[in-house]
Amino acid sequence: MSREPTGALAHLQQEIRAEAAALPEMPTAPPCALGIAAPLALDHPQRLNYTLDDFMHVHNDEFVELAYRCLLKRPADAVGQLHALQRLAAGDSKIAILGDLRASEEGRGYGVHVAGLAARYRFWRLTRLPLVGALIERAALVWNLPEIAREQRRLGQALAQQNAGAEIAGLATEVARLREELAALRARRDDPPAE
Amino acid sequence: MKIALLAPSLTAHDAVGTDVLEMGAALRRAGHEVRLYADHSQGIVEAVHAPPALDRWLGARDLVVYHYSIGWPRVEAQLATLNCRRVLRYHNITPPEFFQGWSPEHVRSCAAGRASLTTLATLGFDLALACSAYNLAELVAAGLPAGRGAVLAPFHRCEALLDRPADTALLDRYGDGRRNVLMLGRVAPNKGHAALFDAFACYRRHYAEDARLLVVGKHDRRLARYSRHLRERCAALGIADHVHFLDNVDDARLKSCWLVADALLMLSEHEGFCVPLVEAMALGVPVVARDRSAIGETLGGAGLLWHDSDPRFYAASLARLARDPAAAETLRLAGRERYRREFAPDVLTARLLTALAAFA
Repeated sequence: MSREPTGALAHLQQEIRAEAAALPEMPTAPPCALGIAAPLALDHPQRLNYTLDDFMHVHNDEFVELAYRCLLKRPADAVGQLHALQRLAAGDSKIAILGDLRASEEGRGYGVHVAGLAARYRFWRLTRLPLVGALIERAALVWNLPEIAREQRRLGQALAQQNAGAEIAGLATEVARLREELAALRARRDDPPAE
Repeated sequence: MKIALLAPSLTAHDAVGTDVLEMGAALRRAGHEVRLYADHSQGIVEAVHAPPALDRWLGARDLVVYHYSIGWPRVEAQLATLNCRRVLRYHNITPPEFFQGWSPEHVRSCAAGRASLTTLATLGFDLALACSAYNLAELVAAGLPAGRGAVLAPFHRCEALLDRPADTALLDRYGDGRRNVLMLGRVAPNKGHAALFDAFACYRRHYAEDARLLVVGKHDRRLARYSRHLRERCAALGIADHVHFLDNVDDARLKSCWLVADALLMLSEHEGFCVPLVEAMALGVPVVARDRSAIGETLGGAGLLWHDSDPRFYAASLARLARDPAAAETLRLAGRERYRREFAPDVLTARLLTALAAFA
């Protein structure tokens, strides 16, 4: 179907075009132009540098989806997603899943860099060695016991606060904005502009 | 014939939900046995079934129509194994880049949804019903055999809206003699609000100081930063007091908005169809629009369509419609004629039944 206007409509648009051209140009858009200064999102196809921290605060499906999108630049396929979720459910570490994705043929192709991942992934591979691997893992766990205990206490606190915290912050912002709008409306009511 | 209409989520009054419900009603009137299948539903009166039960209900001669508007990997995998005939209904998915910098969650879900496009286009559907030629072109580019595709505009609720009484409080509020320019659509970054505000500011500056812009559409809490940004932009342009954001608008209030509107101004960047244009045609409101994605083909010749984003074109268009009643009437008549010819419910029903006749 042709989108070019015909007949009376074409004539009308010609007249409007001429009228519009005679108007002065609008001033340049204000500096808050849409999204220009926004940094690349985590899963942006052109983003190639990450830190482990980017992945450690998301869990389960969300973690798997993010890992695929960041390291393989695509959504997780059904088989891969299921496999990763089963590994997480079985107690496998996120480091292992990230490292496997990064070390896969597809992951090597993108060459994404996750700061701190390589060393921890190599260590995890050591712990998978037959016989000696289990000993290495136990030794490392004993070595890290104080940190693990601290992390457990921190997680307990965080879980208690997590649900309420985000919601309250959002509501506080909204209430502050509404207060400002109310104050502006009151000011306008008390001091109406001249018509 | 048994026909299952399948969608991830069904909401009574959104574009996809309306298409599913009205399509179901049209198929039932034609004598088919229809069931709805979805993971979630909201405001739906009739029974909605769980998708895992789909294959138990459908036989080899039956039909499933999958409404694709966002990714649904679990059920898409199930579709591949179904023993019945399959139809893909493509509503389009907003490209994720529009949400870049505003919502990682939207970026993820839109990217995941679009990632299914190639899989679905090559899954072997017996027929694909795209809401527009623009959508069909995307499917064909993704691998759908061109001979298996057809265009069918979405079903809508214009007739119900025409019959619905308006909200009198809103009519009183906005029917005050000031010019009302209307924009309809959820508040999301693909809807072109920046260009819309520029055009409206230009219109106020050069033609109508008392004009008002009604931005009707749902605000998404996950896009709160974008919504705040829009308010800041309005303030920067000096139009904050004249731009009214209306959320949670029911049918009666929507009807009022249409009744007080002098024109629909649509500068959206991405639409797989654009139902508000059809509503404007049905309700006799002249349309000024930007030619993007499926907007041009939906509008046809029934409005003022500009490819350029220069706000002066839109300002001059609104001004001309305001001072030239004959021009506005020409557009109204063209809109009503196009609605009657292309988008009236009986036209859509006939096209749907023709498209599905091969399965009878």
